[in-house]
Amino acid sequence: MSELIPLIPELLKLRPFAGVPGPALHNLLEATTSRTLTRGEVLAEAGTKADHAWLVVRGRLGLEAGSSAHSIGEVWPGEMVGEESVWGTATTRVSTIRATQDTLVLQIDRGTVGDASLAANPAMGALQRHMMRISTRRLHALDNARHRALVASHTFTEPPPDLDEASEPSTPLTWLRALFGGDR
Amino acid sequence: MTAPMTPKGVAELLVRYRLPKELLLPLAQVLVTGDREILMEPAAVLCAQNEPADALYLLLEGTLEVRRRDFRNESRVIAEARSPAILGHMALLLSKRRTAALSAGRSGARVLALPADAVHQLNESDTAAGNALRRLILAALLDQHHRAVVDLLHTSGDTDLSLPAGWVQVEG
Repeated sequence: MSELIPLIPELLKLRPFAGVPGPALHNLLEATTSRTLTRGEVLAEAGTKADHAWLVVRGRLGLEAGSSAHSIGEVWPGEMVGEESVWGTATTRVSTIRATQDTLVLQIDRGTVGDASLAANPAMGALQRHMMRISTRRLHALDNARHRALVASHTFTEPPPDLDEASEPSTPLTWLRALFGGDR
Repeated sequence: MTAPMTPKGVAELLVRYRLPKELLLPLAQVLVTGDREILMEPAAVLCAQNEPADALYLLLEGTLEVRRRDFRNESRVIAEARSPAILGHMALLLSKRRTAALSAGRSGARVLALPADAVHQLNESDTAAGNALRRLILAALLDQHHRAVVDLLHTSGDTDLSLPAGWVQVEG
């Protein structure tokens, strides 16, 4: 049984579980585990097998990519990382995940996601809807960034009307940052 | 032109998005309720850019060209989707207008259109059918997300920002 069950009142205050009945969250937590990390501890390394997702309950995680470990995002309480490996098709991690504070996470694997007894569970449904919202907004942000870069790469006598002149220049790093972190 | 749906296309969608076969039954039940299957001739238009998103599209056979107008208002092919695949979910979930047009490729296409109302209703329902549809859409979104990240790391041209050592190509 998950060590997080005593924390149900705290978990219900996190955005993914807002409005979820306590017993439904209890049933979901029974199918999960938790992990405690100290500041600086690595949760997962880029290039390794991806088979878990983590929801931050307390603390903060940092995401790094590339040989110079560029920071590409932060994961705050109520936000998730690694979801592409349990709900998506990814098999290998592309970023390193490190605790930037002492952190408590809820750990989810493909078994939890595919658990038939949770198919109609409102807490699982709420988590899925939350991930759909976040993923859609991230992809939309990337699409907008690419659009701006496309505009910037062309010379026109008149700028197109939807060019946002105040936006920061698009680079692969800024595009990557649009794809990670929470919905803040 | 409409025709009855075959479960084969749904099973292939599950394989494409690494979803378990246990979702086949609830998903098939969702897709035969109020659905529309469309057989498209080559170049036939499925939806236009900037029109309201009124359906989720499941590409079961063939290909769809994704077209977008540039600043000279010329329609350009920016991608080609091969079956099996999900399309049109972004605008639907964001309640925005279509950012691209879809038209059948050279060999035509067979598409299942799930009406927006049905998608929204199922998305809000905590049922096995709602769970199955959410998992299918979520798998498609996260597949897009993962490929975008890999593409950025692969093509950034910045040696400090490249794919990690030991990275393995995703199948499919």
